[in-house]
Amino acid sequence: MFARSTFVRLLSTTGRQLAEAEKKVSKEALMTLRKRTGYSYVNCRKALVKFGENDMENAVKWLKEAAAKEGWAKAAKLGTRVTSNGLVSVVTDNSAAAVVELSCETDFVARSGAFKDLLANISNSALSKSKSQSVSEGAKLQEFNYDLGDLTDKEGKNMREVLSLAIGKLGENMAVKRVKAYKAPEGTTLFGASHPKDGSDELPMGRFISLVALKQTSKGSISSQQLAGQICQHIIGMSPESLGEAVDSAKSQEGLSSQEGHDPDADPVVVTNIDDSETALLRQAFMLNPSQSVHEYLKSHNASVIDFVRVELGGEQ
Amino acid sequence: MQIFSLLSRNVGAFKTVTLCEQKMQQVSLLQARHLAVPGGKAVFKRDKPHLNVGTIGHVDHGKTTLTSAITKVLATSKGAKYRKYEDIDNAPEEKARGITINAFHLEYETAKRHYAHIDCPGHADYIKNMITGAAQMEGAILVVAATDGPMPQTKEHLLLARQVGVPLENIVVFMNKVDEVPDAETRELVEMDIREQLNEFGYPGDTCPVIFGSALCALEGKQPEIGEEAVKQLLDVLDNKFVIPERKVNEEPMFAAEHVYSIVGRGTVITGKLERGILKRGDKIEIVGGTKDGTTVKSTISGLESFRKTVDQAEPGDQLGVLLRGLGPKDVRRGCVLLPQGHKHKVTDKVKAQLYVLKESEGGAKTPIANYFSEHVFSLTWDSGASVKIVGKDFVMPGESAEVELSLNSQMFIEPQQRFTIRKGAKTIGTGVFTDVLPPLTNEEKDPKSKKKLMKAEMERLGFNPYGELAEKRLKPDFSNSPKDNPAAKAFEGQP
Repeated sequence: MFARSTFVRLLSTTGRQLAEAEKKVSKEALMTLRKRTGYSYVNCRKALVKFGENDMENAVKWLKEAAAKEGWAKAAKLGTRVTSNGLVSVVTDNSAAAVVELSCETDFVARSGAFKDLLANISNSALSKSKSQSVSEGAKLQEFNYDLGDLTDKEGKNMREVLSLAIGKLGENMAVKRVKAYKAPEGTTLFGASHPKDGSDELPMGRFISLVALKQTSKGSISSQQLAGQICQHIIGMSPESLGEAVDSAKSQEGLSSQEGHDPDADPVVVTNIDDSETALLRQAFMLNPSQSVHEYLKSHNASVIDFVRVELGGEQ
Repeated sequence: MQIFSLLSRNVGAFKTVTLCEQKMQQVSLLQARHLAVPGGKAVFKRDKPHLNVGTIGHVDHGKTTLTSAITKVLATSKGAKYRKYEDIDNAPEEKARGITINAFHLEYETAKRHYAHIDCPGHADYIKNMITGAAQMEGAILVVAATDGPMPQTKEHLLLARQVGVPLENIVVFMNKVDEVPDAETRELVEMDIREQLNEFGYPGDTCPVIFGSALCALEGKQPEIGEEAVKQLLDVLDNKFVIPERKVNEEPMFAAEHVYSIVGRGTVITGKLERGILKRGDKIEIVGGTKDGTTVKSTISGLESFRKTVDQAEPGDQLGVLLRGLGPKDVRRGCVLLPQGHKHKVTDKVKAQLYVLKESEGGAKTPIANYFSEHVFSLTWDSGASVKIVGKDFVMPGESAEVELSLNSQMFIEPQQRFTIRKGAKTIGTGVFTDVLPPLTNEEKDPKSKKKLMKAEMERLGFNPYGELAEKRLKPDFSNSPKDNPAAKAFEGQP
């Protein structure tokens, strides 16, 4: 690997050094161009050498073209590197939702604004495409898979191109692991949440996301937004595998148990205990208050969950 | 004597040791502290000041190449073992399987200082290593390729350095790959750019050393002015510009009680290990910790014994039995800490900490720790129930870390940087380090009335009762927004 990179570096340096080192480029022009475009200094300098300092417009245009080309080249070059970090996003609009998983190499990049903007861009594009999606009648969530190449941004640019530009700029391999859209059944509303909260309220993103289709017959003591948020948190935390059937006479949940410390004479310590063997959402102990089941909690707020989705970064499709 | 037999219960294996054997035991104990595996290895000599440094920067800007180059340059003066790029960038097949690589550790020394060097793999990985005590970064080498200049994620690298408390003086920029940027203007601009970013994060960007070089040239032995010389310049900055954080060595004796025995007519014996300082017979001491209100007991050491022998002066690491004059069986219990009278320590039941929740594959639980959970905290020889308040998050998933505020059931001996674990049954589900000792819960905070008021407000805000059965029925939160037959009330039915 080391040998290969040395080889590539040698190839890319020799020719350039001879031809361009002699030409002088003013610092101010170089700084302006870098600030304006954010592209690498080496490329900004090339553009100025090519077009002169007074033709900024062409220099910027050339830089953009070069960036697109370099983006593709970089994407191809970095394509084999493992992307185990990244973020998953969820965006909802009443009965439609989009879930996108975008991965990269380090979590430093995943934390950067440029990466989040890219993810938001893909998410919004998938959401708007889902709005024109025809839906068949059904009682459950309907899922649609999109290909990145079928999506375009607001200016009509293909998403594949947007991705490769970002790869060129951030210099790390990135991959879109999933683009999915969801449609809610009649009478339900979709809510999404993420953990940790790396995105915004409108567009949650994190290492985990969850999406619930919620039906509420009458207003509870807290807003349905807040209630759905709590259920979403529960789904992320307790990773239920199915909805399960609600039981009214749920087995009584303890929620607390006591255990002995070092000192056998001292009073035992009371700890929160949560049963992790149940995999059906409605039967699980509610994570935020383990003395209730999720079903009981929903019922106390006149609400019911029709369906849900949970996605973990790097998880199975 | 009775006290002897009590001690031997604690250290049964050494029941019949002679004085000579006892000395040998101590010697081997001392060695064991220096060596992970006794026997056959070189002894670590502590003859130079030590500093923990790390490289941060974009994946392709040459952190590993630079690290390798440092070892190569220092290998000529026997200050390091030369590590090839491939040796540092180890286990690519593990990377391919998606297993997190922990920070790679290596050590080297200059004429002046000894360094532990880590390559910081990622933000979350670093924080985890810091909490579990596996890695530390007190000085940062920011590697930036002059070809690209600072990347959008450079901000995140600086943010991490700031967040983990790298001192303002202890940052240096290594501008790498200058062999590919021949003109002075571009170099100057990249330098301006990075200085600006440093300033943005509160580091002294205008005065911070920026070294131009090429780690690759240093490795290949080409262009020594930007190769080997640049690496030497970098080491010079580490040696002379970086400050060594003040490592507070607290010499005050501290002894945490593991077992307590009372002997009729003589007093109370506590056994345990002397963590630090020196104890002598006749020392005036104070027993702190383990009480609800922070009350302490004063006493005098009337006898010290180790391995069934009387000891005149106990030293750090000694297993001891300490006989205390005039104390009853209720005055001291396991988890109490013995300090000299006149100490400055203040026990508390409220503390800030960094917590890492173990993954299931690490032996932890499947489920997260959420706000308001009651957990069982163990530190030194004490343990206590604690209610967890998470800062900035609603819950902590296994594999994640977070800042938490713990409210303990009793006031305990807690110092910053002291480590703790959280256990559930036979499992350790979390591990952490106390960061800030907060003033003990005030009477108002503890006052049942105001506590209830706060809890009620919290319940109304959340829509459920996070305090479980501990919250009393009498609280009767006012869900006035809800329909007449308040459905939320059902949540509290059947509770005591």
